[in-house]
Amino acid sequence: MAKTVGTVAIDEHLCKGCDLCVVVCPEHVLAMTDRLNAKGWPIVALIADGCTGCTLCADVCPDGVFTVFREERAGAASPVGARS
Amino acid sequence: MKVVAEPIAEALAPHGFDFCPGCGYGSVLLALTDVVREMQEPPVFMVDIGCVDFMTAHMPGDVLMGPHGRTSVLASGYKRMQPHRLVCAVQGDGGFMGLGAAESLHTAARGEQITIIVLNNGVLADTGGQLAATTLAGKATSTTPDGRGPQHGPPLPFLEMLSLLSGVAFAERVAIDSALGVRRVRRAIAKAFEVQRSGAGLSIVEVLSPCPTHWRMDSVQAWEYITQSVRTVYPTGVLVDRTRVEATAHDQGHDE
Amino acid sequence: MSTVTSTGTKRFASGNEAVIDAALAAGCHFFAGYPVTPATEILEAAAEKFPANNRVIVPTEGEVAAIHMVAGASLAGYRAMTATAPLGLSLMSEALSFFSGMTELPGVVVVQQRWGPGDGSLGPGQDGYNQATRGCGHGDFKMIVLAPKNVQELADLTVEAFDLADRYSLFVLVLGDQLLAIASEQYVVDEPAERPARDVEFGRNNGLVLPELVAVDETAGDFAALERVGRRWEQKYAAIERDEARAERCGDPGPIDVLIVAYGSLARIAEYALSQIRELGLRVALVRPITLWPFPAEAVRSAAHDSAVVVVAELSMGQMIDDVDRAIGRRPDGFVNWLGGRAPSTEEFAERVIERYNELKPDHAMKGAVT
Repeated sequence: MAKTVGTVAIDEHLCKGCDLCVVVCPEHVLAMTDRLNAKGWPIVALIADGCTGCTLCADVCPDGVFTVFREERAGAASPVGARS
Repeated sequence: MKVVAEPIAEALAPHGFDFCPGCGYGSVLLALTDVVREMQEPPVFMVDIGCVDFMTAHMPGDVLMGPHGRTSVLASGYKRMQPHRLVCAVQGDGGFMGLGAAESLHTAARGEQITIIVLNNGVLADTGGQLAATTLAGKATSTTPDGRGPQHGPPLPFLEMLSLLSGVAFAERVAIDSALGVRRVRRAIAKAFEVQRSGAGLSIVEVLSPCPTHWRMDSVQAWEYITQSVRTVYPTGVLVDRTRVEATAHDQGHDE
Repeated sequence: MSTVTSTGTKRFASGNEAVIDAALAAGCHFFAGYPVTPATEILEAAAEKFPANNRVIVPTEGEVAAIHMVAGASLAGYRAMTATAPLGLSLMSEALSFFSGMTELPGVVVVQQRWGPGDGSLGPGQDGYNQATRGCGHGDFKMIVLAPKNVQELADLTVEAFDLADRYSLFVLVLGDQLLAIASEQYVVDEPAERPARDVEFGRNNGLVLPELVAVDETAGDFAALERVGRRWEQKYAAIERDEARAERCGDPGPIDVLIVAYGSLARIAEYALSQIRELGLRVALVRPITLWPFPAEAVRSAAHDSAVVVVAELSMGQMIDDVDRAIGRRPDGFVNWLGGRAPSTEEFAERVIERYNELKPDHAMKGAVT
């Protein structure tokens, strides 16, 4: 089955660099950068293509950093990781 | 593309949460807000002293903070006089199982019709990470520099003890140590409020919450600590559900 | 009163850590406590140092457990203590009434004040004065209350608190504040010393466990017996008032223009401000109560006797001021205070005192900014 295509928007002001999203992302498209936000925390970034919009990053983020987008596909199976 | 997940702006306003990186309290707050925003009228919240009181500015409803550990009885008094309102006490393990243990015990004994959300991070975090009733054996804290030893007794299975009482209509323990775990928090909270609405008795959700700062680990290690260590002493699952004649296999027992 | 009485090595640490060094030196063998800002580090220092020194430390689930365990350890014959903030002291009130007021057990409680009712502020306050000096609990009883101004004195008075507690069979409070708790300063304190348990006789004479009322059922209605107990306590407190009141005066000898009355950290700020007040041409002195109970009424009265103006300074809405009032026989002329956990700089302290003086003595108003 073809993977869905997605992307995320990251609110850099809220990120605290905790790394949970990086570890949880099944496609390994997130990584912590060297950049610091105004509060002094390192910021996560999307570093590669391949995001499927699975929402696991948003699920685990304790600080509400992620907005997750996913392409709609005709005839696709139930989206992976949809919030119940 | 369409949005399939977005942060709850009203919870995060104005500048996000004040918890440490990787702390579970933010996840609980987001889950709680997600449940509450689907309600016609939000619950009234009572919050304990501890790291929970950093939730106060973000609670999705009216909130009062009271003396340490007495939250359940404060909430009980309110609920008795405003029975049509949902009332929710939010406490840490230090307040619920430690200093306020007697109040928690008798709230359960009386079957007060409130919901208690307990965030169990195994230390007294707000004051700098001292030994708590729930600290695991051998764990170093600022008051047990050589680790929790026999002179401190074993960690207290408080929710298990309270679940023996018929006044506890529903008690579930969930863990923030995976994406699945975080999602279970929301389901358990939603169920707890349903139980309160039904008038069946006390509903309690205990959330095993990571505390990277005082566990002296990073966030990922803290998740692993919960999965590998904390859950051996504090197993997740529904401890008791007296609202159903038969609990289903889905709800019963330990998961994973 | 900052005479260094020990011969130990010089140390440099916070007031909270110094408390535990002092407790070890005084032969305290038991500590039970619960964390509360700004006293938490005392509990943590005890957890760090007591086991290695063969002492017992129990981190309890709350203040009620802590104070009761301290009472138990004291009954067992050992020097015992806890440490808390006024918030935690509230929870200990009942036990202090029982174990200091009724059972007359010795014990020490170090109280580091942070300002405010309820959850309060995290900054320094002195609004625990009434709570501490009015017995802190129900019934007619008093505890000796000691008020250090710096870390050395905090250490010295902690040691002395144990001696006073033993001598008079009651609890002694060492009343500090958040500044003293966290300030790191040099101090000297003796090395840890062990102390054998004292003999405690249950239900016999020597003032423990109400010997006059051995069988409560029989004597609960014996009001004459109860009055005898009350009179004995009355005499005990009168003896302490007569013999243990203490204060320190510094500044210009009389007659003076302004007498400042303050205690603790605020008295120290006042001390530094004296020179700035003096620069404006005022003769000024400070009298600093060191025992808050018994209040050093005579020392305050005689310091006020040859001062044109008396100004009381507190980090509260005014608690010690009532004791000053009683001591000098009139309402003090001026009151300067700070609330919310805020403590003034020496400049601000001096400015506020000058302001008060100018309001009271407009003909002699001092001009010029305080530098």
